[in-house]
Amino acid sequence: MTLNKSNTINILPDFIANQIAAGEVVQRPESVVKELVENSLDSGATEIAVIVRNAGKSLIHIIDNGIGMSKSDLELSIKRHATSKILTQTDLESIKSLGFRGEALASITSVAHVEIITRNKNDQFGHKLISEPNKPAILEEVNSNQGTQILVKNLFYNVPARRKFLKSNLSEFKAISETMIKFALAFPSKRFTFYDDENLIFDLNASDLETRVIATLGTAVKDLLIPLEYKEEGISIHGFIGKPFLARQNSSNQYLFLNERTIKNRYLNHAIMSCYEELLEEKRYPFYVLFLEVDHKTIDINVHPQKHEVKFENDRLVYNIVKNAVMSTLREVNLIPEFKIDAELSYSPFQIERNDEDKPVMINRSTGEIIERSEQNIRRISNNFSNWQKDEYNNTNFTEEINSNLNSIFNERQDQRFEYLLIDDRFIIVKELEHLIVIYKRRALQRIYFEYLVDSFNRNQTKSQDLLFPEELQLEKKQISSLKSNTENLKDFGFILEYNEESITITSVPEIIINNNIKLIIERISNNLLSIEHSDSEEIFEYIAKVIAISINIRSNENKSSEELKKIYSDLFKCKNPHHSPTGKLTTFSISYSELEKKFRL
Amino acid sequence: MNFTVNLNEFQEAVNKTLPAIPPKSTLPVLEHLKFELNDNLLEIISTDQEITIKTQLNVENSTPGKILVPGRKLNDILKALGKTEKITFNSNTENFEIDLITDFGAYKMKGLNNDEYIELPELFESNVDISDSSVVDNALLPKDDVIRLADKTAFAVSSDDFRPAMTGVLFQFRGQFINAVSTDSYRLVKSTYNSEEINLPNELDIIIPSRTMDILKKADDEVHFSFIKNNDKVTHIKFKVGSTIYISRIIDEKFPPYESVIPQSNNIFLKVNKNQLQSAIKRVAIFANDITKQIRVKIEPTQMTLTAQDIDSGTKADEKISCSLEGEPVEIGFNYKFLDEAISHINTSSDGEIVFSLSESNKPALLMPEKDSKELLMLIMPVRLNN
Repeated sequence: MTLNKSNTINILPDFIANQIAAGEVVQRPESVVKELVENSLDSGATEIAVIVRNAGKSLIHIIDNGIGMSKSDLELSIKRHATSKILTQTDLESIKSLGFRGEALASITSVAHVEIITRNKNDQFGHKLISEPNKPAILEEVNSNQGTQILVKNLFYNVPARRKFLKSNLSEFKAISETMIKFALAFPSKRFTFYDDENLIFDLNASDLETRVIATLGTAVKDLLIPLEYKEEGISIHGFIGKPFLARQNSSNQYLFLNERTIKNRYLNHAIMSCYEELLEEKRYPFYVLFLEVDHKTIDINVHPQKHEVKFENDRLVYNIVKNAVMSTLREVNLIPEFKIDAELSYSPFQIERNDEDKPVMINRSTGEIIERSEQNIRRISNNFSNWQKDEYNNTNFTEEINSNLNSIFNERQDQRFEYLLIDDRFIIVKELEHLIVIYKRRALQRIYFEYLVDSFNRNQTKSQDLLFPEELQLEKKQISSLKSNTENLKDFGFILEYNEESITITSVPEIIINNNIKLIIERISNNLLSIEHSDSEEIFEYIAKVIAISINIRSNENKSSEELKKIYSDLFKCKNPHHSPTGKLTTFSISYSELEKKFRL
Repeated sequence: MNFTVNLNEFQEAVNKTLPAIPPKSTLPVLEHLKFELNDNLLEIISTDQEITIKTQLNVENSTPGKILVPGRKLNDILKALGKTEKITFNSNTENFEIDLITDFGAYKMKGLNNDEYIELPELFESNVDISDSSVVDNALLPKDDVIRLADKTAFAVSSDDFRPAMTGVLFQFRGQFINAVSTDSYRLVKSTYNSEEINLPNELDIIIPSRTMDILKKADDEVHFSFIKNNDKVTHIKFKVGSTIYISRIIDEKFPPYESVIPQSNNIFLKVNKNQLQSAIKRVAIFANDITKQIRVKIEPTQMTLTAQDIDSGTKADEKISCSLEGEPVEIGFNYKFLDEAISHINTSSDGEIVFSLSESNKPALLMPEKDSKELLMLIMPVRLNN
């Protein structure tokens, strides 16, 4: 075909239209996998196998045990906008199936060699369809099992531009594998088998969600999952969130599903992240696998051909519900620091697992070597291990009440001098009846100051100290305006500022920060205000409180006497979240004397 | 280098040089004292490059020499040698080993070659002591007055390194008097020394670092100040106390215009017994929030009420003490630490009373030993009471 310079408008031939549409739906091998597995799921399959070769560039092979297609369905399936999933406009408004646009197969057949073998459960024989772009499809009768098999070969062989844009096998394969994990998580009741050429990547039998999560994401997550169940305003959320310990440096451990469909939503992600704010350091991403069930009518998933993005009728409501769900779950489990002796555990690379015959074997985690041992021997080792872990939890779960009881007993009996000890001007050691509590002084004070600020802000009781000599601080215009738009908030904290063209004048400061570098604190506040994305006032004041709390300069010559150390200790445990600093760093842990004993036994 | 010396005198001399020995220096050589011995006169120098101290003492049976001696270690052993009367110091010029010998013990340590010491600017030899008859460029102050000026002001110095001017005490030499002023922006102290005659430099303002003020607090003799100039600008203050000479860098910054913040028209005056007030503050403060340290003072014609409350711990205290008021009743909030520190630095007049001068609850409060005191003035910024 030659496109000449004539100005005539032409209706594009079908195959070109399909190729263009394919560009939207089928961008890379991963999209093919996604579209086809969705079709399999929609067909009611309970077992789905995916085999890829050369990262899907040479072959993508999907096998399912779904309902299958009849001969006429099969012929229609590769036509554009052929879909079994929508009949009317009303259907479109409440889409429950994963696919619906009727684009997938048509698009794929326009850019690859496709072979479909299928047998509908009502048919005696199956059918095979062989399709090549821009050629009539060949249809024949074959013997086959119920279900559908689709082979996609030589993807993009006729679209060099697209082929060129494919990434390395490694990253294309990673994308497919990520998608397969998402399916596996979203549908724990279905069996997923996934092969890279002849290598089995996983074969996950139908199970409950927890088992599925552990099976897909690794046994490392096992004890660190917090189950979540929440319902509000017709929106229900379930799944697992991870303890802070599971957080990673990137967002790869975050899975969000909306009505079983994996979605990306920065807004909801922010809702979850904000709950962890005080538990994690900056740039650490909490683990979550969460499923949102929302009335299909209140969402629009037809925003994007890949259906990753979703529009909510009332996104503010969903945001708040997600936030409430995660927040209340975190509060319930009362995140107590777990003194996991990681370093010690890793000294022993041996891990007890059960083999296929349900016999315990020992696996050397560092070499992958499997050591078969006599049952007795292994039991002994594994008992030691499990006791060890039990001890850890038992001894670290202290509550404030118990502490104060212990304390009062203690105060009467023990020599004060040995009760609170400051080491290296950084750590406070508190001796309790059965364990030592170790406190990171600086972080503990940050936590105390933070909660003090939040409390007094809430009670409208912050104190403001006037300056004899107002401080002038040069700032950029945007910094000034960020402060200016928060004048009232700042005033509630005790900051009284005057705004000039290119500077501000500080005339009054919160009493808590006197003797500190006021200018630095103000500058930090302005920078933080600039970086807030969603600004509701509750967040802003916590931000400000956080900046102030972590900026307070704790002089090393202060807080040295036993009395003062005791005060830090008791103030810390009066805090709502004593175990983490406002930036989510650990403030304290306890170690029992029996754990200490064990350290010497190693 | 060898000498024998009376232990007490040696202890004292070494002790005087300690303020300029940094606990941990990036230059290990500065952790040493520089010993130089000539004609039975031992000269000891220490410096942390901000403060330099030189002291002298007489020794016996000496052979001259120079050596660097570990400062802290020497001081520790001298302090611990309680009863010995004499101590002999021998050092080896080859390997710089030092032997200290007493009647009952011998102590060995390792010194350093004198040549390794940093080069000291010729501050001690400068000609500032030679007076120009027309201009007074030095000042001789009685010991008690120096201690008073230092003691009254040093506590209110700012510890915020980002406001360097406030980390020292401003000395304003004005011919017949000196104002010593310190502030951390929350309180301000002005203490004045009046000389009977015009024998002080005129119109000279310098800021003395608070560490140097700590040395002046411990003056044990009259203090002779002079100033070291570079290009007509004072860069160091030098003062001689007994046989010790101190040279200190001054803070080359502009002190805030403190006169303008001292209220001139306060019309509320309050007289109260210092001891009563101070012990009331001590008791009430126990119940204050220990982060804000806020205490409220309600002043009525014949009594003042101190109140502290900490909602977090549910504690509250109030106490009444009698006072005499001239002017309108007023209520004002303070940081009790500031209030207490200020009061404890006021020497009362014979009746044991001190004077507050106020205007409004959010305006600075003045404290002084008596109304119109020329000697001492304290200013405290109040805490805003927000209900």
